Amino acid sequence: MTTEEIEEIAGRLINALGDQSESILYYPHPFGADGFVVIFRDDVTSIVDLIADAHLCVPTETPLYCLRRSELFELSLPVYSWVYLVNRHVHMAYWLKHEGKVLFGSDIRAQLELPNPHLMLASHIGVSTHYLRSGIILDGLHRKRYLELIETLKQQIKMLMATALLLHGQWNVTAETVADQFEDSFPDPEFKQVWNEFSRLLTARSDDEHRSALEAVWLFERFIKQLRSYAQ
Amino acid sequence: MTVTVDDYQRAVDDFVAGLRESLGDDLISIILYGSLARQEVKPGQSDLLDAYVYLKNEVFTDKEKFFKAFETMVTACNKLSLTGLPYQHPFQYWSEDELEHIPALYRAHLESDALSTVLFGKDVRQQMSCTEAELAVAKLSFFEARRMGHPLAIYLRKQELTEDDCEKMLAGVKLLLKFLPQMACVSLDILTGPNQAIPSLLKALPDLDAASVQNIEKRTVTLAEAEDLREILRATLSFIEDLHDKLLSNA
Repeated sequence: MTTEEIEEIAGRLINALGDQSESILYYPHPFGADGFVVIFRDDVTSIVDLIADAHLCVPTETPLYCLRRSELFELSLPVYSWVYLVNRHVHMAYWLKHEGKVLFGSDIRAQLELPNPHLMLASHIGVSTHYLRSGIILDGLHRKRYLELIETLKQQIKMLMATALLLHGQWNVTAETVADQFEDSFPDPEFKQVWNEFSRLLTARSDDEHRSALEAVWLFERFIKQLRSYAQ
Repeated sequence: MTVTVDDYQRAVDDFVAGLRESLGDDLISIILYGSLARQEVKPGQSDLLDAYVYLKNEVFTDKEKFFKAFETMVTACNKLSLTGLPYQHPFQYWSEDELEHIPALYRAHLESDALSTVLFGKDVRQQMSCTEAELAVAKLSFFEARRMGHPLAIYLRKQELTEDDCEKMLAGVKLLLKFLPQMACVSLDILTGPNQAIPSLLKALPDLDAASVQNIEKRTVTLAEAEDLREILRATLSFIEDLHDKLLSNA
């Protein structure tokens, strides 16, 4: 998000909610959309109306967290929900605490506790099996969306790598660096083989997209199975 | 053509037969849950098919078996989608060693004969479990998941509601009321099915007022009722925030 975009949204949020808020913050997110956090005072009433006003200030696809001051700890809790929501939530507290910007009010970042990485990994593996297998893998194969499926699985493996790196205290990763960082921190031949084969799958254009999609699912399942052994 | 419960039963029977025939010994168990398992099918409305398909571990270590299993499962999806019955998402597949990693949020569905049933093979439900971390995630999920509904709040402010807005509002409300009360129950260590979630919460949290969100699943979308729907949305979001506050004060 550009500085101008951040300032424009910040202006709208402050104008609409400044007198009800203790703090308004922005955070970058390397894998997905950057987002905003609006922390209302604990004594606000009619929070549903405030949430409505806040969401009117922010583009639909931009993540927005609305909460009261006393609910700050919730930002660090794991969630078991749709895959895309979990993907953008897992690292959010890290980026807010370390790279977030205060747009209005007090700087609450020092009071923000970081998540338990073991719980974040458990939730991420959970939704990557439970929801992704049904809603993305079988559905993608059924609808013959082979290339889209391969791309989604590549992205999901990277997301899972990033979450696993939290076990080693590494949160500052990007889509470009995550595979290398993961290989350094998890020198496991199975992971290495899976990622090498997946990378070959992406570069070697096959005429048989169906076969390539099945290969991608096979590699994804091997990756998940191996990752589970580190999540115990 | 009128859809009947028998049409659903035939689709389920074909589904099981197809998997059995192709997967043979690699198929361990098929567990049915959801409205079909609860005998609460609404013909023409209920989806096909909420099921857990358990496969032998070897399927996930032998590439040839793996590819064959996926061809079979995709064929099963194709057949389900062609039955003419509502079909929104495929069933779920798991390996045998994942019996120790069932989705903790939904374990109630798998621990009661009233909520699930064995369609084929071993009754693996007694072997199902989850780790402490998975249980902790399930118990904490309500707090973040409740924010799923926040983007819907913009409809409380929109001047002119369209039919599309009304559809999105009602679908969003139904989704929130389907999942969040169950998640709240898990937070309170209450294992219950979807229909009993709100009654169970009312017992556990006597000050909770759910009157305004009862019977919403029966509502339909009409533009003439746009303002009613807007009030239903407000009531639902307020109910969820109230539920959240009570869970926190109960913790």
